[in-house]
Amino acid sequence: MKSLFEQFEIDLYCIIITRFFDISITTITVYLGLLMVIVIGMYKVSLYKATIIGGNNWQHIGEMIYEFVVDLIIEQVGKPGILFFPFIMSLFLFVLTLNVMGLIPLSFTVTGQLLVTFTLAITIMIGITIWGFRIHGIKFLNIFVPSGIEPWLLPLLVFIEIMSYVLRPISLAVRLFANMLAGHLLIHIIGVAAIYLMQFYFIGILPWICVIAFMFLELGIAFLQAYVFVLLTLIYIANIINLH
Amino acid sequence: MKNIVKIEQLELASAVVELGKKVGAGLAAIGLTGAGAGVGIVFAAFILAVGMNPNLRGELFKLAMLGFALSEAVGLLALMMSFLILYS
Repeated sequence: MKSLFEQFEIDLYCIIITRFFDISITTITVYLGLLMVIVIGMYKVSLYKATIIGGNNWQHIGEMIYEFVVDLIIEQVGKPGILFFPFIMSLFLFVLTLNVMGLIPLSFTVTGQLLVTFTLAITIMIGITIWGFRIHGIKFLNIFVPSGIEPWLLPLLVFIEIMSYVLRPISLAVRLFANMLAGHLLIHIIGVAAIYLMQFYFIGILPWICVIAFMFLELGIAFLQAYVFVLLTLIYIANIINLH
Repeated sequence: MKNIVKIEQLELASAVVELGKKVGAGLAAIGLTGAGAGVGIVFAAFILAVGMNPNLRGELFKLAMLGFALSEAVGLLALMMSFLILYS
């Protein structure tokens, strides 16, 4: 039996190293290209025979995701957050499509790599910090000072706030990564157990029903984690807009 | 003759390392009890709240899902530690 972590190994298909950049083609590159084809193709198809009244099923899927993201932004941030709509929509489709693509048997999970999720999270946090300085100026530092507390407690609370702000990208990245990793390892272990139990014919297909149930659970977790990733990004944006 | 290491001693040393890894991984998985209790509390509170006020079911379900994901992620950190000890 091969190692449990075999499904997370990255293969190197083509080595391209220029003087300043390493743009080699790996499994991650191939899956990101496939992601672009799937998302753009889905929206092209949903716009193919689109009508204003009525419409076909593909159009309904596209409109459903659009309205879901818009409602989420209006509910969490309010009117000024609609500035972030293109970013939030592409983030949601990115994480959701990669999670669901990883559930296809024998495929590779891109969001199961800490590299990918941490790059996403640190980019988001640096970007919204720069944006906060642009809209608030130096008053942005008020985010670290909670209001309505005693003066002698202030240094401790400012320290705690700064620590929680710095640890946000790490918690955002590790949450998605750990969920994907643990879920796929669980499916792998249950699948190996089901194959082993096939030699006892009297058990029947009970282990395979168990595998299918866990696959549905993983499908639910894939949607839930994409939703939570976007929701926490929106909560951080709302925190910066309102400044306590 | 003092400095010669016998093969039995090497085998014993690697066996002790293997034993330590397995016991450590099992101990690290104890942290999942807290995550299980946390998820149970989240859904218990959700059921109680819906029982008291069924009109708010849609909003409360979103909050319950958020709490479920947040508390489950903490438990998965313990599981990650266990895998990290076992396979590295």
